[in-house]
Amino acid sequence: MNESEVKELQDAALSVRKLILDMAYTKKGGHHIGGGLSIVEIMCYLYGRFLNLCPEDVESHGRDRFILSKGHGVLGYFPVLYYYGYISRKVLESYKTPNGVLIAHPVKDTSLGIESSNGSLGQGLSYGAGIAYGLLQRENTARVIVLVGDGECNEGSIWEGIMSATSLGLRNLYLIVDNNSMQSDGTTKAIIDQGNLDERIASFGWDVQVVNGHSYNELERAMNVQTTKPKAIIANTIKGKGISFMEGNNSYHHASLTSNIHTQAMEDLIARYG
Amino acid sequence: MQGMARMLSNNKLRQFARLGQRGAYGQSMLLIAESNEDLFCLSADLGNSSGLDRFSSKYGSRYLNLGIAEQHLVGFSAGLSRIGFNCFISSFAPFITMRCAEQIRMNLSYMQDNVKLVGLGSGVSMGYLGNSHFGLEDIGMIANHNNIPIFCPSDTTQLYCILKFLVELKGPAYVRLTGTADTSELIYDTEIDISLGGSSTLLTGESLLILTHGAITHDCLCAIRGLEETRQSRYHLEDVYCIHPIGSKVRRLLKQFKKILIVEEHRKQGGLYSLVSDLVSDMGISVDLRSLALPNGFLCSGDYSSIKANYGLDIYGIGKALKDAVA
Repeated sequence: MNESEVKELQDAALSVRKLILDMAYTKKGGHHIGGGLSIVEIMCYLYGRFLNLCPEDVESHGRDRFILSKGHGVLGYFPVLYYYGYISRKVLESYKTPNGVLIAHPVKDTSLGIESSNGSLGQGLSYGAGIAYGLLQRENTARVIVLVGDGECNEGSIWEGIMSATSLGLRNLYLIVDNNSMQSDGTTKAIIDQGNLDERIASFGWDVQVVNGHSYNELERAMNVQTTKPKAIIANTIKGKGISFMEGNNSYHHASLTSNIHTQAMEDLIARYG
Repeated sequence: MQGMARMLSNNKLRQFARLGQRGAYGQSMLLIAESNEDLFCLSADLGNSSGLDRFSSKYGSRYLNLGIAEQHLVGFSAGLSRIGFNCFISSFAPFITMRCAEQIRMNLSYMQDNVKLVGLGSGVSMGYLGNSHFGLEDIGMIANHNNIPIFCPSDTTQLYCILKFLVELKGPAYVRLTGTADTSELIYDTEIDISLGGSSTLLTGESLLILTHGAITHDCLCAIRGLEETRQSRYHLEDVYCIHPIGSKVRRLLKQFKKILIVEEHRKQGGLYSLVSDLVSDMGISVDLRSLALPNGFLCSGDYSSIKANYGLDIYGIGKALKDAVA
């Protein structure tokens, strides 16, 4: 990726983070802020560069399929869909309004580019594996990308999917782990230590790449490794990434923003990346 | 290519009956697959127990054993259905309805993906394998989800017809298989029309409406035929093969009869009795609604017939309940 291509994605990420802060502030109540912010670069890379998808033909037969298995990460998803032209401003603004189109988890609506309903953790990988298998059966070259959280990997069903994917030779399946090292109640290390998550997944026969999940060049390299194995990308990220006082601060796992905090956060973001 | 599956020959019909519902499931899929290229059968390592051995050798590219991983099985099949495959997935009734209950909720109920669940050996037909394998609560499990129809065939002919119907029905459904090969009896010697919310009238009478489903329907039929001839005409026997949603025909019958007995190989709670109770309450009608079902708690093991007898669900027990209900 050349400098201007990286810059383009960085601009996208800045806009997306601003939208995240605005959404979290204007829509009352709590929001999963930390885990939304940690996936911004991953999502901008996917939608800005990797996915074979276009807003004008969002339900095309040969489209790549993206599944946000960590369904609570919508703050890192809906603004990206808006930024890249999949949903309108009006739809984005319906987020967390009574009877609005968008709620705090993805709800399947392929016309908006949302492939599956999520929120119950541990389900996206099996779903994506089924899609990937079906595509191979149909000799369709589209790819399936499933984004899970590291905490989500506590779910046994994730491991059922990991075991199965290699047996079925799902070379078109990508599992990205948002490895932000925190989950709802604390650090993933203290709850179920998965420090060697890469080795664990590799032991089931996957190609595993460990990258800085905020580096576009590292994501690009990892996502384009040529292999016939299913591909896992352990994206090391920082929960709350982008706002100094939210980074690694689990009180922003699910939180609401006051006017003061919103202003502080926006100033901090712009000072660092603006 | 999609097309109507072929009619069962007389020989096939009798062959299926000898196999019982489990074996006939796989054999039915083998026939239906001939005219449905998108039909895809999956199992959680119980393909042979689903009678799918011949299906898997003939249609290897349309069969998968995903291993003993029911949660993955449901999620995977839902994903596969998104690419246009018509997925039927089978395992023993508790495993296919409970182990993966939340996957069913998200994928089949919420997203309405085109996957049919097939519960093998439900009720107490697993005999000596005991409570871990019994289907005592599976109807309740599925009926609690939004918009997943439940079909309970009474014999192998009806099972074949239900499967043909479900291949054409987009969206999820649950098919509950009961009975064993050695107790399998034929009720229908020709194919019947199947509909959502449908039922078949086996006997007409005016004093007592009997609603039943599954393999014990035949026991109900025998119990009535075993009564004195003058009594037989008092009983209306309805084979409610689609117990959820309950259709207009059963609704009409509920209004016609003052006294109703629901005979089922399931717990009273969550079964057809519960579904009918809710319905009569919604309809605002007052009826004498009785249940002959498996009791609460975990049950004894034994051979299938002896367990049924133990809980009054054999011909003798049903006959007694019929006499008690119509003095």
